[in-house]
Amino acid sequence: MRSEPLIEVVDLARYYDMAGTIIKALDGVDLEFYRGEYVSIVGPSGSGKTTLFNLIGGLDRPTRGKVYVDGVDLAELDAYELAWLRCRKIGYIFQNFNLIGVLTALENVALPTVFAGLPWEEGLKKAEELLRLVGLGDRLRHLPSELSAGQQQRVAIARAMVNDPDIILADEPTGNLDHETGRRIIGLLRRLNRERGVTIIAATHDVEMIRGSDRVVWLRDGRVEKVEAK
Amino acid sequence: MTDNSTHFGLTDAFRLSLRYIRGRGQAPVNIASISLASAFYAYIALMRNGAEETLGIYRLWLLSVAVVVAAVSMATVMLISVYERYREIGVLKCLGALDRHVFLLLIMEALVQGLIGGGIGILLGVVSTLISNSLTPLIGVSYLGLSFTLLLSTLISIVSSLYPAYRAMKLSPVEALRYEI
Repeated sequence: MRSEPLIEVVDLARYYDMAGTIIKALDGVDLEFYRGEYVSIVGPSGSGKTTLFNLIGGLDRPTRGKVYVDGVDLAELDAYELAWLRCRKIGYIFQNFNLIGVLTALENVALPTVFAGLPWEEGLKKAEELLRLVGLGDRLRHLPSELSAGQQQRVAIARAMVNDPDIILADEPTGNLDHETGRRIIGLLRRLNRERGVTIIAATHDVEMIRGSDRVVWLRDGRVEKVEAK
Repeated sequence: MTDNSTHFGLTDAFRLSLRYIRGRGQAPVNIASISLASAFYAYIALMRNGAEETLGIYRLWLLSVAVVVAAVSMATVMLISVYERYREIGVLKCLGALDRHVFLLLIMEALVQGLIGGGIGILLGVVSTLISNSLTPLIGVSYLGLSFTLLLSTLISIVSSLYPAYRAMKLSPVEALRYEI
Protein backbone atom coordinates (compact mmCIF):
# COMPACT_ATOMS: atom_id res chain seq x y z
CA MET A 1 0.00 0.00 0.00
CA ARG A 2 2.78 2.36 -0.87
CA SER A 3 2.05 5.76 -2.30
CA GLU A 4 4.01 7.57 -4.98
CA PRO A 5 7.73 7.57 -4.30
CA LEU A 6 9.15 10.84 -2.97
CA ILE A 7 12.29 10.38 -5.02
CA GLU A 8 12.52 8.29 -8.13
CA VAL A 9 15.82 7.62 -9.85
CA VAL A 10 15.63 6.11 -13.34
CA ASP A 11 18.61 4.67 -15.23
CA LEU A 12 20.79 7.34 -13.68
CA ALA A 13 24.35 7.64 -14.97
CA ARG A 14 27.13 10.15 -14.46
CA TYR A 15 30.42 9.82 -16.30
CA TYR A 16 33.47 11.96 -15.70
CA ASP A 17 36.18 12.60 -18.20
CA MET A 18 39.44 12.42 -16.26
CA ALA A 19 42.22 13.36 -18.69
CA GLY A 20 40.80 11.22 -21.48
CA THR A 21 39.70 8.30 -19.32
CA ILE A 22 35.96 7.98 -18.81
CA ILE A 23 35.12 7.33 -15.16
CA LYS A 24 31.67 5.84 -14.69
CA ALA A 25 30.82 7.16 -11.23
CA LEU A 26 27.22 6.04 -11.67
CA ASP A 27 26.19 3.68 -14.42
CA GLY A 28 22.48 3.00 -14.68
CA VAL A 29 20.93 3.18 -11.23
CA ASP A 30 17.20 2.66 -10.61
CA LEU A 31 15.92 3.46 -7.12
CA GLU A 32 12.82 4.66 -5.34
CA PHE A 33 12.65 6.37 -1.98
CA TYR A 34 9.39 6.75 -0.08
CA ARG A 35 8.21 9.43 2.29
CA GLY A 36 9.30 8.85 5.86
CA GLU A 37 11.86 6.19 5.01
CA TYR A 38 15.29 5.88 6.51
CA VAL A 39 17.57 4.42 3.87
CA SER A 40 21.28 3.69 4.10
CA ILE A 41 23.43 3.71 1.00
CA VAL A 42 26.40 1.44 1.51
CA GLY A 43 29.39 0.83 -0.69
CA PRO A 44 33.16 1.19 -0.82
CA SER A 45 34.56 4.64 -1.53
CA GLY A 46 34.28 5.40 -5.21
CA SER A 47 31.11 3.35 -5.55
CA GLY A 48 29.10 6.43 -6.47
CA LYS A 49 27.41 7.43 -3.21
CA THR A 50 28.38 11.08 -3.29
CA THR A 51 27.66 11.32 -7.01
CA LEU A 52 24.18 9.93 -6.38
CA PHE A 53 23.61 12.53 -3.65
CA ASN A 54 24.83 15.36 -5.87
CA LEU A 55 22.38 14.32 -8.56
CA ILE A 56 19.42 13.88 -6.20
CA GLY A 57 20.18 17.29 -4.70
CA GLY A 58 20.35 18.91 -8.13
CA LEU A 59 23.96 19.99 -7.55
CA ASP A 60 25.10 18.13 -10.64
CA ARG A 61 23.52 17.12 -13.96
CA PRO A 62 23.42 13.44 -15.01
CA THR A 63 25.03 12.09 -18.18
CA ARG A 64 21.96 9.92 -18.68
CA GLY A 65 18.76 9.11 -16.84
CA LYS A 66 16.31 10.99 -14.65
CA VAL A 67 15.76 12.10 -11.08
CA TYR A 68 12.22 12.90 -9.98
CA VAL A 69 11.62 14.62 -6.67
CA ASP A 70 7.96 14.69 -5.71
CA GLY A 71 7.11 13.84 -9.31
CA VAL A 72 9.15 16.74 -10.74
CA ASP A 73 11.89 15.96 -13.25
CA LEU A 74 14.98 17.81 -12.01
CA ALA A 75 16.25 18.17 -15.58
CA GLU A 76 13.37 20.55 -16.26
CA LEU A 77 14.20 22.93 -13.44
CA ASP A 78 16.23 26.09 -14.02
CA ALA A 79 18.92 27.40 -11.65
CA TYR A 80 16.35 29.37 -9.61
CA GLU A 81 14.06 26.41 -9.08
CA LEU A 82 16.99 24.13 -8.24
CA ALA A 83 18.13 26.62 -5.60
CA TRP A 84 14.62 26.62 -4.19
CA LEU A 85 14.64 22.81 -4.11
CA ARG A 86 17.96 22.72 -2.27
CA CYS A 87 16.74 25.35 0.13
CA ARG A 88 13.25 24.12 0.98
CA LYS A 89 13.01 20.45 0.09
CA ILE A 90 16.43 19.05 0.88
CA GLY A 91 18.72 19.31 3.87
CA TYR A 92 22.38 18.36 3.62
CA ILE A 93 24.63 16.84 6.22
CA PHE A 94 28.29 16.28 5.43
CA GLN A 95 31.05 14.15 6.83
CA ASN A 96 33.09 17.21 7.78
CA PHE A 97 30.11 19.25 9.01
CA ASN A 98 30.83 22.22 6.73
CA LEU A 99 29.63 24.90 9.08
CA ILE A 100 30.38 28.55 8.30
CA GLY A 101 33.39 29.36 10.47
CA VAL A 102 32.61 33.02 11.17
CA LEU A 103 29.01 32.39 12.27
CA THR A 104 27.83 31.22 15.69
CA ALA A 105 25.90 27.95 16.05
CA LEU A 106 22.68 29.95 16.13
CA GLU A 107 23.55 31.96 13.01
CA ASN A 108 24.69 28.84 11.16
CA VAL A 109 21.34 27.20 11.74
CA ALA A 110 19.43 30.38 10.86
CA LEU A 111 21.31 30.98 7.59
CA PRO A 112 19.13 28.72 5.36
CA THR A 113 16.02 30.57 6.57
CA VAL A 114 17.42 33.73 4.98
CA PHE A 115 17.46 32.02 1.60
CA ALA A 116 13.95 30.76 2.30
CA GLY A 117 12.84 34.37 2.70
CA LEU A 118 12.22 34.43 6.45
CA PRO A 119 13.02 37.62 8.39
CA TRP A 120 16.30 37.24 10.30
CA GLU A 121 14.73 37.50 13.76
CA GLU A 122 12.25 34.76 12.95
CA GLY A 123 15.00 32.60 11.54
CA LEU A 124 17.00 33.02 14.74
CA LYS A 125 13.98 32.01 16.80
CA LYS A 126 13.45 28.90 14.73
CA ALA A 127 17.17 28.10 14.89
CA GLU A 128 17.13 28.37 18.66
CA GLU A 129 14.23 25.91 18.91
CA LEU A 130 16.07 23.41 16.74
CA LEU A 131 19.34 23.77 18.61
CA ARG A 132 17.46 23.04 21.82
CA LEU A 133 15.89 20.03 20.13
CA VAL A 134 19.32 18.61 19.24
CA GLY A 135 20.56 19.31 22.76
CA LEU A 136 22.66 22.40 22.18
CA GLY A 137 20.52 24.98 23.94
CA ASP A 138 23.55 26.10 25.94
CA ARG A 139 25.87 26.51 22.94
CA LEU A 140 23.93 29.04 20.87
CA ARG A 141 26.62 31.74 20.76
CA HIS A 142 29.59 29.42 20.23
CA LEU A 143 31.57 29.45 17.00
CA PRO A 144 32.13 26.09 15.26
CA SER A 145 35.79 26.17 16.36
CA GLU A 146 34.60 26.26 19.96
CA LEU A 147 32.48 23.13 19.61
CA SER A 148 33.41 19.45 19.64
CA ALA A 149 33.02 17.35 16.50
CA GLY A 150 29.81 15.79 17.76
CA GLN A 151 28.38 19.19 18.67
CA GLN A 152 29.30 20.56 15.24
CA GLN A 153 27.45 17.71 13.59
CA ARG A 154 24.43 18.46 15.76
CA VAL A 155 24.52 22.06 14.57
CA ALA A 156 24.73 20.77 11.00
CA ILE A 157 21.70 18.54 11.60
CA ALA A 158 19.74 21.47 13.03
CA ARG A 159 20.77 23.53 9.98
CA ALA A 160 19.59 20.77 7.65
CA MET A 161 16.22 20.69 9.44
CA VAL A 162 15.54 24.39 9.78
CA ASN A 163 13.51 24.86 6.58
CA ASP A 164 11.43 21.74 7.30
CA PRO A 165 12.73 19.76 4.33
CA ASP A 166 11.11 16.54 3.10
CA ILE A 167 14.47 14.91 2.56
CA ILE A 168 17.79 14.86 4.37
CA LEU A 169 20.82 13.72 2.43
CA ALA A 170 23.56 12.71 4.83
CA ASP A 171 26.94 11.90 3.32
CA GLU A 172 28.86 9.79 5.86
CA PRO A 173 27.52 11.80 8.80
CA THR A 174 29.43 9.72 11.35
CA GLY A 175 32.61 9.36 9.29
CA ASN A 176 34.58 11.89 11.34
CA LEU A 177 33.18 10.96 14.73
CA ASP A 178 34.25 8.47 17.34
CA HIS A 179 32.06 5.45 17.93
CA GLU A 180 30.03 6.75 20.86
CA THR A 181 29.44 10.22 19.36
CA GLY A 182 28.51 8.59 16.07
CA ARG A 183 25.93 6.45 17.84
CA ARG A 184 24.32 9.51 19.40
CA ILE A 185 24.19 11.25 16.02
CA ILE A 186 22.52 8.20 14.49
CA GLY A 187 20.06 8.13 17.37
CA LEU A 188 19.26 11.79 16.74
CA LEU A 189 18.72 11.26 13.00
CA ARG A 190 16.54 8.27 13.71
CA ARG A 191 14.49 10.31 16.19
CA LEU A 192 14.00 13.17 13.72
CA ASN A 193 12.98 10.62 11.11
CA ARG A 194 10.34 9.12 13.41
CA GLU A 195 9.08 12.27 15.10
CA ARG A 196 9.11 14.64 12.16
CA GLY A 197 8.63 12.19 9.32
CA VAL A 198 11.61 13.50 7.39
CA THR A 199 12.97 11.07 4.81
CA ILE A 200 16.62 10.32 5.50
CA ILE A 201 19.04 8.96 2.95
CA ALA A 202 22.44 8.36 4.46
CA ALA A 203 25.63 7.18 2.82
CA THR A 204 27.62 5.23 5.35
CA HIS A 205 30.15 2.56 6.25
CA ASP A 206 28.81 2.47 9.75
CA VAL A 207 27.32 -0.89 10.84
CA GLU A 208 25.36 0.89 13.52
CA MET A 209 23.70 3.09 10.92
CA ILE A 210 22.89 0.19 8.63
CA ARG A 211 21.28 -1.68 11.50
CA GLY A 212 18.89 1.17 12.24
CA SER A 213 17.64 1.75 8.71
CA ASP A 214 14.44 0.67 6.96
CA ARG A 215 16.25 -0.31 3.80
CA VAL A 216 19.85 -0.68 2.74
CA VAL A 217 21.02 -0.02 -0.80
CA TRP A 218 24.35 -1.60 -1.69
CA LEU A 219 26.28 0.24 -4.39
CA ARG A 220 29.30 -1.09 -6.22
CA ASP A 221 31.11 0.43 -9.17
CA GLY A 222 28.28 2.80 -9.89
CA ARG A 223 25.55 0.16 -9.91
CA VAL A 224 23.05 -1.12 -7.37
CA GLU A 225 24.35 -4.46 -6.12
CA LYS A 226 21.35 -5.26 -3.95
CA VAL A 227 18.57 -3.63 -1.96
CA GLU A 228 17.84 -5.08 1.42
CA ALA A 229 14.63 -4.38 3.35
CA LYS A 230 14.96 -4.57 7.11
CA MET B 1 5.27 37.43 -3.67
CA THR B 2 5.61 34.31 -5.79
CA ASP B 3 8.03 31.99 -4.17
CA ASN B 4 9.75 30.02 -6.86
CA SER B 5 13.30 30.86 -5.90
CA THR B 6 15.49 31.83 -2.98
CA HIS B 7 16.15 35.19 -1.36
CA PHE B 8 19.23 37.07 -0.24
CA GLY B 9 18.77 40.82 -0.01
CA LEU B 10 21.11 43.74 0.64
CA THR B 11 20.62 43.60 4.42
CA ASP B 12 21.32 39.86 4.45
CA ALA B 13 24.46 40.41 2.38
CA PHE B 14 25.51 43.26 4.65
CA ARG B 15 25.01 41.17 7.80
CA LEU B 16 26.96 38.19 6.47
CA SER B 17 29.72 40.38 5.01
CA LEU B 18 30.25 42.01 8.43
CA ARG B 19 30.68 38.57 9.99
CA TYR B 20 33.24 37.64 7.36
CA ILE B 21 35.11 40.93 7.69
CA ARG B 22 35.23 40.57 11.46
CA GLY B 23 35.98 36.86 11.51
CA ARG B 24 38.72 36.57 8.93
CA GLY B 25 42.30 37.78 8.87
CA GLN B 26 42.34 39.35 5.42
CA ALA B 27 40.12 42.33 6.04
CA PRO B 28 42.75 44.42 7.92
CA VAL B 29 45.17 43.94 5.03
CA ASN B 30 42.59 45.17 2.54
CA ILE B 31 41.59 48.08 4.73
CA ALA B 32 45.23 49.05 5.24
CA SER B 33 46.04 49.13 1.54
CA ILE B 34 42.86 51.01 0.67
CA SER B 35 43.42 53.51 3.45
CA LEU B 36 47.01 54.21 2.37
CA ALA B 37 45.93 55.01 -1.17
CA SER B 38 43.05 57.16 -0.02
CA ALA B 39 45.17 58.91 2.62
CA PHE B 40 47.47 59.88 -0.19
CA TYR B 41 44.56 61.19 -2.20
CA ALA B 42 43.13 63.09 0.78
CA TYR B 43 46.54 64.65 1.41
CA ILE B 44 46.76 65.83 -2.18
CA ALA B 45 43.20 67.14 -2.10
CA LEU B 46 43.97 69.12 1.04
CA MET B 47 47.29 70.53 -0.21
CA ARG B 48 45.79 71.50 -3.57
CA ASN B 49 44.78 74.91 -2.30
CA GLY B 50 48.45 75.60 -1.68
CA ALA B 51 50.64 77.33 -4.20
CA GLU B 52 52.62 74.45 -5.57
CA GLU B 53 50.63 73.91 -8.76
CA THR B 54 53.74 72.76 -10.60
CA LEU B 55 53.80 69.59 -8.56
CA GLY B 56 50.35 68.66 -9.87
CA ILE B 57 51.41 66.17 -12.54
CA TYR B 58 54.04 64.65 -10.30
CA ARG B 59 51.51 64.11 -7.52
CA LEU B 60 48.95 62.73 -9.88
CA TRP B 61 51.53 60.23 -11.05
CA LEU B 62 52.31 59.19 -7.49
CA LEU B 63 48.62 58.94 -6.74
CA SER B 64 47.94 56.62 -9.65
CA VAL B 65 50.80 54.38 -8.54
CA ALA B 66 49.29 54.26 -5.06
CA VAL B 67 45.86 53.43 -6.47
CA VAL B 68 47.20 50.66 -8.69
CA VAL B 69 49.21 49.15 -5.84
CA ALA B 70 46.16 49.21 -3.57
CA ALA B 71 43.94 47.68 -6.25
CA VAL B 72 46.38 44.87 -7.07
CA SER B 73 46.89 44.09 -3.41
CA MET B 74 43.15 44.08 -2.76
CA ALA B 75 42.46 41.85 -5.78
CA THR B 76 45.10 39.36 -4.61
CA VAL B 77 43.85 39.25 -1.06
CA MET B 78 40.22 38.88 -2.17
CA LEU B 79 41.18 36.06 -4.51
CA ILE B 80 42.97 34.26 -1.67
CA SER B 81 39.96 34.86 0.51
CA VAL B 82 37.73 33.25 -2.13
CA TYR B 83 40.07 30.25 -2.49
CA GLU B 84 40.11 29.74 1.26
CA ARG B 85 36.34 29.81 1.29
CA TYR B 86 35.74 27.42 -1.60
CA ARG B 87 33.98 24.93 0.63
CA GLU B 88 31.89 27.52 2.41
CA ILE B 89 30.80 28.99 -0.91
CA GLY B 90 29.80 25.49 -1.99
CA VAL B 91 27.86 25.11 1.24
CA LEU B 92 26.06 28.42 0.64
CA LYS B 93 24.99 27.12 -2.75
CA CYS B 94 23.81 23.88 -1.16
CA LEU B 95 21.70 25.88 1.26
CA GLY B 96 20.01 27.75 -1.58
CA ALA B 97 22.31 30.61 -2.60
CA LEU B 98 22.13 31.62 -6.24
CA ASP B 99 25.21 32.71 -8.18
CA ARG B 100 24.21 36.34 -7.85
CA HIS B 101 23.80 35.99 -4.10
CA VAL B 102 27.41 34.86 -3.79
CA PHE B 103 28.49 37.73 -6.04
CA LEU B 104 26.51 40.22 -3.98
CA LEU B 105 28.06 38.94 -0.75
CA LEU B 106 31.62 39.47 -2.00
CA ILE B 107 30.90 42.88 -3.50
CA MET B 108 29.30 43.88 -0.22
CA GLU B 109 32.44 42.81 1.63
CA ALA B 110 34.47 44.94 -0.78
CA LEU B 111 32.15 47.92 -0.33
CA VAL B 112 32.33 47.82 3.47
CA GLN B 113 36.11 47.44 3.46
CA GLY B 114 36.38 50.28 0.94
CA LEU B 115 34.32 52.59 3.13
CA ILE B 116 36.26 51.74 6.28
CA GLY B 117 39.56 52.08 4.43
CA GLY B 118 38.43 55.40 2.95
CA GLY B 119 37.40 56.71 6.36
CA ILE B 120 40.76 55.82 7.89
CA GLY B 121 42.45 57.28 4.81
CA ILE B 122 40.75 60.64 5.30
CA LEU B 123 41.88 60.75 8.91
CA LEU B 124 45.45 59.87 7.94
CA GLY B 125 45.36 62.43 5.15
CA VAL B 126 44.17 65.20 7.47
CA VAL B 127 46.75 64.31 10.09
CA SER B 128 49.63 64.22 7.61
CA THR B 129 48.52 67.51 6.06
CA LEU B 130 48.43 69.10 9.49
CA ILE B 131 51.89 67.78 10.23
CA SER B 132 53.40 69.00 6.99
CA ASN B 133 51.75 72.40 7.52
CA SER B 134 53.38 72.43 10.97
CA LEU B 135 50.04 72.06 12.68
CA THR B 136 48.51 75.27 11.38
CA PRO B 137 44.79 74.77 11.00
CA LEU B 138 43.64 73.96 7.50
CA ILE B 139 42.05 76.90 5.76
CA GLY B 140 39.75 76.53 2.81
CA VAL B 141 39.63 72.76 3.00
CA SER B 142 38.07 71.21 -0.06
CA TYR B 143 35.34 69.08 1.44
CA LEU B 144 34.38 67.95 -2.01
CA GLY B 145 37.90 66.61 -2.52
CA LEU B 146 37.71 64.86 0.83
CA SER B 147 34.43 63.21 0.04
CA PHE B 148 35.86 62.06 -3.26
CA THR B 149 38.28 60.05 -1.14
CA LEU B 150 35.43 57.79 -0.07
CA LEU B 151 34.28 57.46 -3.63
CA LEU B 152 37.79 56.56 -4.74
CA SER B 153 38.30 54.02 -1.95
CA THR B 154 35.03 52.18 -2.62
CA LEU B 155 35.72 52.26 -6.33
CA ILE B 156 39.18 50.70 -5.91
CA SER B 157 37.73 48.14 -3.56
CA ILE B 158 34.80 47.11 -5.72
CA VAL B 159 36.59 47.14 -9.07
CA SER B 160 39.43 44.98 -7.76
CA SER B 161 36.94 42.55 -6.22
CA LEU B 162 34.95 42.04 -9.41
CA TYR B 163 37.10 39.20 -10.69
CA PRO B 164 37.39 37.36 -7.33
CA ALA B 165 33.63 37.71 -6.84
CA TYR B 166 33.04 36.39 -10.34
CA ARG B 167 35.24 33.38 -9.61
CA ALA B 168 33.32 32.69 -6.42
CA MET B 169 30.00 33.04 -8.20
CA LYS B 170 30.94 30.61 -10.99
CA LEU B 171 32.18 27.97 -8.60
CA SER B 172 30.41 24.64 -9.04
CA PRO B 173 29.16 23.41 -5.66
CA VAL B 174 30.23 19.84 -6.47
CA GLU B 175 33.82 20.99 -7.07
CA ALA B 176 33.72 23.31 -4.11
CA LEU B 177 32.59 20.66 -1.65
CA ARG B 178 35.30 18.28 -2.79
CA TYR B 179 37.95 20.95 -2.33
CA GLU B 180 40.43 20.44 0.51
CA ILE B 181 42.69 23.16 1.84
